[in-house]
Amino acid sequence: MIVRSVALRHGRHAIASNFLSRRFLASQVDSIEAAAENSIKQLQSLETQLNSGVPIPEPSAEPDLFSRSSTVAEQYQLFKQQQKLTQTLGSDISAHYKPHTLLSNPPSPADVTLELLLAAEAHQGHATSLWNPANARYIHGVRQGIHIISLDVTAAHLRRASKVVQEVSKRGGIVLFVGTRDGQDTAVVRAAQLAKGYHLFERWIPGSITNGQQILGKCATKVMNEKDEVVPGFDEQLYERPVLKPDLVVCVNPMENYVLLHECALNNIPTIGVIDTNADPTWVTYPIPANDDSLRCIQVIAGVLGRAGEAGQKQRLELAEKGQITYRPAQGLVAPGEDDLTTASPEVNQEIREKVFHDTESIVDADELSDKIDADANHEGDGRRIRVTS
Amino acid sequence: MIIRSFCRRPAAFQALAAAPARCSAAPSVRHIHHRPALANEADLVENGIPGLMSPAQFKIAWTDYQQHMMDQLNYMTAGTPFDNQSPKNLILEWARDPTKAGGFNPASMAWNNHAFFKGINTNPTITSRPSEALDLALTTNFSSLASLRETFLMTAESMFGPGFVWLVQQKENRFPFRILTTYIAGSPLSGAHYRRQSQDLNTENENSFSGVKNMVGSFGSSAPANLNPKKPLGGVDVVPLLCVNTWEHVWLHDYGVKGKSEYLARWWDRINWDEVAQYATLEKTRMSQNQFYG
Repeated sequence: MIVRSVALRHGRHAIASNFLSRRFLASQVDSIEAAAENSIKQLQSLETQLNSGVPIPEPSAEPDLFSRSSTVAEQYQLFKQQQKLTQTLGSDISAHYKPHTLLSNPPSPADVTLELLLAAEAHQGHATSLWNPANARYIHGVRQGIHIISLDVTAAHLRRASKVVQEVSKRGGIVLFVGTRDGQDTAVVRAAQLAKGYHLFERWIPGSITNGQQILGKCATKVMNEKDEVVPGFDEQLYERPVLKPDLVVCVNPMENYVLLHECALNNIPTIGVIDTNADPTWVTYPIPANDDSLRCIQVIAGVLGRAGEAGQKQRLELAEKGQITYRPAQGLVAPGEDDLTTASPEVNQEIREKVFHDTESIVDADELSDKIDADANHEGDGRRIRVTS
Repeated sequence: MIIRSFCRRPAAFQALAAAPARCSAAPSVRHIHHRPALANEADLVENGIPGLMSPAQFKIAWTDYQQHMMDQLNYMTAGTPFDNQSPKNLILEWARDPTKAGGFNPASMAWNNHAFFKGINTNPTITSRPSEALDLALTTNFSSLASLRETFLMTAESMFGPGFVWLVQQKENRFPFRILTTYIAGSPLSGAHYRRQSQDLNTENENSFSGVKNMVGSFGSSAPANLNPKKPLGGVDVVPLLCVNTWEHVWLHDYGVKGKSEYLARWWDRINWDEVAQYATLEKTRMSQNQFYG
C-alpha cells in the first residue's frame, strides 16, 4: 500500500532522527519521544494486523454497493451525481453564449429582446445595391455598405408571426417548417418537434400542393381524436380520402423556395417567411424582416416559432381534456365497425338517394340499383378514385 | 507554433504584461474565470478560519492564491477554443500533454484548492463528526478513525514538498477508501491520471513504474479470464472525498517553517464530514444521521 510505504520510507526515520537525537529539555523531549514511539508502535501494529488477516468487523448483512457489477444505468447515475458536485469546482465562469442551447432550449416569444436579435446578427442585410425597395419600411439605415434592418420592426413582426403559429397550432392546423439551406435542417426539425408540425429540409418537390394527389397520394394518413390518440380502423376510408395540405407554412429561406410559396398562395395557405433586404416581401403573408444568411438568426427565429407552436399545442390539449374541441372534425368519416349504408346517418343516406335519382335515367334492376347505390356510397368528392364494391 | 506556445507560458505572463509588442499573438485577456465564492466568505475574510488560519493567512491561501490561479487560467485560455471551459474540463483535456502544463497546472491547483477550502468546517461553534454510515465505512477500511487520522497526517507530514493528500473512494469490493497523495499540482481525477503525480520519483525506483508489462499469455483462448470489472462510465472509479493542502504558503504565515504537523493536526479537527459523506457512496445503515455536537 502506498500510504504505509511512504510513511515508512520517510516517517519512521524522520521521526526517529528528529526527536531521538536531541536531548535538550528532558521532560519535553521524553514526552515527544514517547509520542513518536507510540505512533511507530501503532503503525507497526496496524501493519501486523492487516498482514495477519485478522477478521475486520463486517458492516452489515446488506450487500456491498460495488460487490455486484453495476449496470450502465447505475454507472451513468453515479457519473451524473459526481458531475454535479465536481464540475463547478475551481472557478466561477461568467455567463457566455453556448451555441447548442439555441437548439436544445430555444427562446420563447417572451424572451425575444433586441439584444438577442442583435447578437444573432439579425440586423445585417445585404449590400445596398442589391436591395428590394419594397423592404424600405424595414430598413434602419446603411453601414459599411450594407442595409441595417430595424430590430424593433423585426421583433414586432416576429411576435406577430409567433402569434399566428400559436393560434394555428391551437386549432389543430398542420404547420410545415421549411428550411432548405445548409445547416438549417436542425433548426427546422427542432421547431417542428416543438410545434408537433412537419419539417422539410431537402428540396421542395414542385407540385406537392397543386398536384398533391399525384405526388403525395401514397403517403400514410391516420385518424386521431381530440387528445391526439390514434383511432384505428379507418384504413379503408383513409384510402379514399384526399391528400392533406398544410394549414400554415413557415419558410426560413424564401429566396430559394419561390415555387413552394407560390403554390401556397394558389391554395390560400398562409405563409411566414424570413425576409432579407434583397427578398420580396410580397411572396409571404407574414414577413419577418431579418438576416436569412445567418444560421444563428435562423435558429433564433425557428426556435421562437417552434416554442409558439408548442404553446398552442399545449392550449389545444388542455382544452381537449376539458372536452372542448378547438377545430372542426373531419367530415364524412364513419366510425369503424358500422355498415356503410344501413347504420349511416339519415342525412348521408338522403344525400346518396338524391344523387342516385339525379344520375340515373331509368332503373332496370334492383341489383343495378344496389350497384349504383354502392358506387355512390364509395364515390367521395371530386376527382378521386372510385372503388366499386362487389 | 513554438513561438505561440512560449508566449502562453505562465512564466512569460509577467514579461508579456509589461511588453505586449514582443509577442505577435498576445490576446487581450477577457475575465472568464472568477474566484468562486465560499460559504460565508465575508466572515472568513474578516476573521479567518477559526482554529486554523488567521485572516492574513486566509488571504494568502485563498483570496490571493485563488485569484492568481484565475488570472493564470484567463491568460492561458482567452481567445482559445477552451475559452469557457470549466477547470475540471481543462484538467481532463490537458493532462496528457506535457506541453500544456502551463494551463494544466493552474486549472488543477484551482480545483484542488477549492476542494480543500470547501471541505473545511468554518463554523466555530460546531464540531463536525462523521455520520454513522461514514464512520462504519471508515472503520472498516482503516480499523478505526484514530488510525485513519494517524496514517493520513503521517503521510502528509512525510511528503516533502508541496502537494495534496486525498481521501478517495475507489470502485472496489472490500476496501474502497484509500489515501492518495498528489505532489505539487497533481490531480486525483481518474481521467487525469497522467498527471496524478502520486509518488516523488526522486526517491522511488523509476523502473518500478515503467509501463512495460509482459503481456505473454494475457489474451487468447487459453488466457485466464479477466476478473477485473470493466471501468465505469465517465471515469468515476476514483472519487475524491476530502483533501488537505500541504503547500507551504497555506500554513507558513501562521505556523512557521516547522509548523506543518501542528497545522495538519488543527486541520483534522476542522474537517467538514458532511461534505465527505456527500461525495461518498455509503451503504445504508439503520441510523445514518449526522451527529453534531455544539
